[in-house]
Amino acid sequence: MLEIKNLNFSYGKNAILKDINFSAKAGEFISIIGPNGAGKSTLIKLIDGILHAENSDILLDGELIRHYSRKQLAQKIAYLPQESKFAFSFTVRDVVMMGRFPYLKGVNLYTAEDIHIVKEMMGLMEVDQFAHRNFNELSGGEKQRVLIASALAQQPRIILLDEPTSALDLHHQIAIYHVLKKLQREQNLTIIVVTHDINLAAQYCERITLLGNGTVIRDGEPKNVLQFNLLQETFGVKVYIDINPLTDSLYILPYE
Amino acid sequence: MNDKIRSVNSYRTVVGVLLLFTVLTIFTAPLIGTEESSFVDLFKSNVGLMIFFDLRLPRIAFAFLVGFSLSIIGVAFQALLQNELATPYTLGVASGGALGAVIAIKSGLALTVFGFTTTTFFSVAGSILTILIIYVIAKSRAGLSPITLVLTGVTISLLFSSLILFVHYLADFTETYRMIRWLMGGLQVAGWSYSLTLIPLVAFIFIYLLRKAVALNIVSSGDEMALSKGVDVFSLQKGIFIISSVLVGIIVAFAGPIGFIGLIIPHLVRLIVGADHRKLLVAAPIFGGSFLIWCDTLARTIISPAELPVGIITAMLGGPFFIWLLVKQKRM
Repeated sequence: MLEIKNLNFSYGKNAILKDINFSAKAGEFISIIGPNGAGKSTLIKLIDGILHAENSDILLDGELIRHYSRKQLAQKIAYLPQESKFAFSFTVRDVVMMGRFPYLKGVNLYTAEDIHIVKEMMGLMEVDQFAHRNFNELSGGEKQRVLIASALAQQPRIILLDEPTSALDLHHQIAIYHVLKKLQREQNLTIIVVTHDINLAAQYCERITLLGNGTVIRDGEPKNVLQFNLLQETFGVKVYIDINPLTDSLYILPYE
Repeated sequence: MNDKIRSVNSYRTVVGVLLLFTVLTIFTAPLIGTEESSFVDLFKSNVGLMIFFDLRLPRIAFAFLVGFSLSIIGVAFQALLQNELATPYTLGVASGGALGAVIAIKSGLALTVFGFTTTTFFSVAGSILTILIIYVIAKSRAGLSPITLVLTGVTISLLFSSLILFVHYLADFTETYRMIRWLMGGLQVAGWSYSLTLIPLVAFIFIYLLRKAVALNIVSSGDEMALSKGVDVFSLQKGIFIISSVLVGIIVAFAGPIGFIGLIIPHLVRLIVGADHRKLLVAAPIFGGSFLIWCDTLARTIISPAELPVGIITAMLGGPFFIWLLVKQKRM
C-alpha cells in the first residue's frame, strides 16, 4: 500500500536521503533504526507529506501522496512527532478530538459518530479516566497514550511514530509497544516506528529497516538486519548479539 | 457528558455577561466626560444631543471596533505562532504600518481613493511588507519557528523605529508635530466614516477566523502535528497573515499604534473560557472592544479637560503585563 521509489531529499546542499526504496504492506510492523543523522525522521516526515521532496515518488494506494489533500492524507496516515507541546491548555479529550479534524466538514461541529469514535479510542488507550485533565500536565507515558488515541481517532491505515518511547521508563516503553502490537493484530494497522531502541524493535517488529548515511543498508527480518558486521559498520561500535530465551528475540549489547 | 454541558453553560454565561458589560459600557461610557451629563440632561439640549450622537457615540463605536480587531488578531497570531507573546505589535507589523504612515505624512501626498487617504495606503503597505519580510526570513530556515518569528519581529520593530526617527529628522516642525501626535495614537473621531470603513473588514475577518477555529486549536500544537491532522497550515498562515496585516494597517492609519490590547485580552479571556478557539474567538473580541472603550474613557477624563493619547494608557497597563508573561513563560 505504501511504496517509495528512488527517493532523494536534501536540506540545501546536504543530501539527507539518497535513492531510498522502501515499501510497506497492510498490517506490517516496521522499525526504522540507524545512527543520528541517518535520515530516519526525515523519511517518515516525507511519507506524511510534512516535508516535500522534488520529483519523488511516494505512492499511497497507487497514488502520489502530493496528489492527496491534507485532510485526505490525514484520513489514511497518522503521525506522532518526536515532541509535542501545546502552547495552550487543552484537555485530554480536546486533544483526542483533534484526530477527527480530517472528517470535519464546513462548520466546526463534531457529529455523534465523531464523539463515539473518540470515546472508543480513549477507552482503547485507557486515557478516559483523565479525559478532563490538562494535557500539558500529564506524564510522558500518559501524553504518548493520549497522542496515540488522537492518531487512532483519525482512523488511519498507517501510523508513523518518531521515537515514541525515548522519554519513557521501562514499564511505559513496553506498554506502548504492547498497545501497538495489539493494534497491528486487531486493526491490521501498518505501523512504522523510528527508534533507537533496537532491542524493543527486535522483540516486537517483524521487520527492521537499517538506515545509514541516507541510504537503506539492510531491510528485512530482525535476524537478517541485526548482524554484527552490519551494525559495527553503521554505528561504529562493536556489538554483542544474543537471543533472549524468554522471548526468542534477538538482543544486542554495544561495547567499545 | 455532564462536564460538557456544564462547560457549555458556563461559556454561555461568560459570553452573556460580556455582552451585558458591553451594552452597559456603550450606554455609560459616553456619559462620562467633561460636559458632566446624565441621560436626561443630555437629551434636553441640542448641544447635548450633538455631543452624544456626533462625538461620543461614534468614538465609542470606533474604540469598540479597534479593540475588537486587535484582540481577534492577537488570538489568531498567538495560535499560528504557538506563542502567547505574538501580536501584530510584538511582530513589528504595527511598526511597519507606522513607518508607512510617517512617510506618507512627510511626503505630503494627499490623495484620497474610495475614502482611504495616503496615510492609510502607506500604512497598509507597511504592514503587509513587514509580514512578508518576517515570513521570508522565518521560512528561509527550517520553518516558521515561534522564537525566530518573535525575535525577527522585535528586530524589525527596532529597525523601523530608527527609520521613523530618521524621517522625523528630515521633517520640519509642523510635520514632526503631526507625526508625534499621530504616533501617540488616539480614538477621537468625528462622525461614523472610520467605523463604517472598518465594519465590513472586521466582519469578514471575524467570520473567516470562526470558520477556522478548530484548525487554529490544532495549529497551536505545532505545525507538524497540525499537518498530520489534516490542517493545511501554509494556506491558513497565508490567509490569516494577509487579511490581518490589511486590518492592522488600516487601524494603525486611523488610530495610530495602540499596543498591548492583542496581548492582554486574549490572555485574560483564555483564563476564563479556556483555549478552545471556538469560544475564544467570540469572547476575546467582545471583551477587547469594551476594554478599549474604558481605556479611552480613562484617557479622555484622567487629565480633563485635556486628553491623554489612549496608546499611553494601554502601554502603561500592557508593558508590565508583557514582562510578567515573559517571566512566567520562561519559568514554565
